[in-house]
Amino acid sequence: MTKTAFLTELERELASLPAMDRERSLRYFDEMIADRVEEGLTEEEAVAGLGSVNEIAAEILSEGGGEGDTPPPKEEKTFHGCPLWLAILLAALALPVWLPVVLSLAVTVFCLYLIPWCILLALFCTAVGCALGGVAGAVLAFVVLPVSGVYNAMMLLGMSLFCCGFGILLMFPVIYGTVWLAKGTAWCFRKLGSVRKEKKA
Amino acid sequence: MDVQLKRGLLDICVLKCLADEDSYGYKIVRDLSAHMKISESTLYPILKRLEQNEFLTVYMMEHNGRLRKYYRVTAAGRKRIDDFLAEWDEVETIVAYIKGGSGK
Repeated sequence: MTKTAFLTELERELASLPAMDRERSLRYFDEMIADRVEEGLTEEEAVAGLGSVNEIAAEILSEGGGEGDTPPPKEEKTFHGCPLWLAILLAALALPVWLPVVLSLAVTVFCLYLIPWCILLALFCTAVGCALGGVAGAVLAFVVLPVSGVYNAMMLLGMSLFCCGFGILLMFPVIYGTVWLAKGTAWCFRKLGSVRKEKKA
Repeated sequence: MDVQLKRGLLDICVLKCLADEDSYGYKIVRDLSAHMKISESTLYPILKRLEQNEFLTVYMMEHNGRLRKYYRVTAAGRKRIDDFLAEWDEVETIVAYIKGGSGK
């Protein structure tokens, strides 16, 4: 058998291999034959010395299964057992149905999340209002002192101070509430992130 | 001989054969043939496996107007030989037990 005939037959036997692996095998045996010929053998002898094409091919093909030989076969990407491309196509076709649902759900969740912030904002405004009102009342008490008399001015001053104190006191729950809510938000995002990571892994 | 065992041994033999100087397929077969039965077609998957495991690197060099593929053993390949020898000491201890008569 000539070298060309040998390589052609080997190529046919290795048809099931990826083109790169096949090419590599052919080059290897091509080189072997060339080296044998260089040693003084005729081409026929060199080819004959390699053994039968069937056996060589069988050896190459069976070695493919050894550990660390070939990268694991590429798994087709799936989404819950259905091919990824089909999942994407179905999702795109169902867009008019799920998009409004998802959007309204997202908006609802966002609104629910906004509620505590609104309450905090209202409390904050109340607190600031009370504190500022208290300060204004205290100033007013001195302004109206000549007209209203000492007792009335004293009463106004007392009420104003109480108002101011109440406002300052109210600031504490507002601050704690804000901190707690911000921490809660951060925690939620972290949780969301780790769940996604787990799903990926 | 057990196929797995022989395959493992041949891997080391090829690395050992390349330890002193870089070589090419035909020369490896010729050098190893002095010590064991090995054919070109047996060597092919071994070289491929060793290269994939990064125990070898390959390069092409021109020879008589054609390209010949040369193989060079890597540091990991040399370590593989040492590891094998260390493992083999253990194997010898076990073999000594198997051959020994008392069974205790």
